[in-house]
Amino acid sequence: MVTRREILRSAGASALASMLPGVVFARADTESRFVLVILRGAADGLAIAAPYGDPDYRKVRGELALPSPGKNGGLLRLDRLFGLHPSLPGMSEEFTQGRALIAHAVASPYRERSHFDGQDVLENGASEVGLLRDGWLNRALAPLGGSLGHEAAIAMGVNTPLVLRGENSVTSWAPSQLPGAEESTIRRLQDLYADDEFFARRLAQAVNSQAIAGENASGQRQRGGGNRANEQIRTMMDATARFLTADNGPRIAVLEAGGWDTHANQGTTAGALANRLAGLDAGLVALRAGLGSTWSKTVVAVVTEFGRTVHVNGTRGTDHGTAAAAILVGGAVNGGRVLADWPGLGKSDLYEGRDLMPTMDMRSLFKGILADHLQVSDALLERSVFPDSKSAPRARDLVRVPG
Amino acid sequence: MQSKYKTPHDFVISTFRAFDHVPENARFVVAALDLMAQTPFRPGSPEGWPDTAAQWGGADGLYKRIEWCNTVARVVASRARPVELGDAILGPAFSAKTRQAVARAESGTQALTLLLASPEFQRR
Repeated sequence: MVTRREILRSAGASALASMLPGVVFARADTESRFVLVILRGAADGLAIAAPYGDPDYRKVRGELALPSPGKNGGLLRLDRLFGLHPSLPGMSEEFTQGRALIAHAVASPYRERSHFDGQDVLENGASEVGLLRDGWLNRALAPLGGSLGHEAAIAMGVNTPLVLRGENSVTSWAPSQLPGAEESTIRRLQDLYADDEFFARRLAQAVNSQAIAGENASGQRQRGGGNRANEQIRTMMDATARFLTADNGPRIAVLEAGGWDTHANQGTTAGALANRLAGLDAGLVALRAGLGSTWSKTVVAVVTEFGRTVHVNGTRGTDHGTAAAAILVGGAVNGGRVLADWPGLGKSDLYEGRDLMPTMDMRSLFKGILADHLQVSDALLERSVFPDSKSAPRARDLVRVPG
Repeated sequence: MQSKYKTPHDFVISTFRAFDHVPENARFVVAALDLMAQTPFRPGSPEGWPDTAAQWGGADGLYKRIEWCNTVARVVASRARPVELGDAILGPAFSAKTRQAVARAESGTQALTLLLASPEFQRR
């Protein structure tokens, strides 16, 4: 169903166009690509990028401390303070090439410990839970254009995550587990839906997505031996590359991956978290390969709703914490560095005596990417994408200046 | 007056009801909802699944429904009379356009798929 606002907006745009002959309403900067990967369940930032050089690191992390760089199965050195988890070799290579940036001690404005509320704030872009019912990335789409069949953004999933919900039209895709309906049935449904905007639009989007996804679309869900969660990431990353390189395909994709809530037996160089990180790393490497030359125009942001406790709990895991790490990777990232105002791990350095203290607002990262990579104006960022975010100035120089 | 796009739950239950069928095994219902990414008791939030169509009402959600309708239709096609079924389950909401599409379908499976995936059956 077309909303009143959509009608008004499109009427306004065409009226404006007719008054200004010669002005072409082109999509702004069609080259840049942005992929947002949401790790649901609070991924442990101290394991993703471990501060091995912090004098308190081994003491506070105890049996979950990772071996220093150079040791057997040791961290992959980033700088004198930080090393990447050994299950992230692809990200390490990108870092060495200057195409990955680690932001540490980052957090959304949310300061409690509920996954759901944390994800709500991460995605709605507001300063509090439930304040906004749509997502910051959807609100940022307004100037990026896109029309039916040429949506600027895609949700890689059956459902649309909050960050992409809102009044700007987005599309979605996920692999099928059932055989598809016959082409003639789809055609007849298109006829049947022709007078119904809601259904017609969605079916048109879905048919486009099926065409782009190609053989992936009819692939049955893989079963058996392998790690299903990691296979899912891989499938989604492969498909994302196809969408982002398709003619008139979306420029922005959102992926979600679960399984990061490591309360028990988190593991170190091997184990549950190491497996998830290896799947993430392999997925991102596959995305890079699939994007080919488009990788040079891409920024991928890997984020989570909050971090985990600094100390190990009684079940060899970690509990819900506050600040975490974010990974920015892609050919357009001005990387090869760790961006952190490191708060330290001493008792008095911790948030509420137990969590990594946030020293950077996640919204600063998002604002920096949107402004410098997708050319979203400061005015729109401050007014509608991240309202009430004056305390989170946009991070500068996250993105390479082209040329 | 129909106005709302059914939730995956409403849609699956109303499909079973359309055929007056009570699944012997709840797994059939669970599997259908899993396909539509709203697996029962696994909403990922204590608030349950969202109550606005912004979450489930996207392009891929519709496509997954169509695939499921098609699968159901293949199973029951030989036993159903699609136009009569449409009258029975939709009553006055059964539009002339959908009725004609169902009547002119090239197979029983297609007729049922069109009926189940019609805008009027997907709304409440």
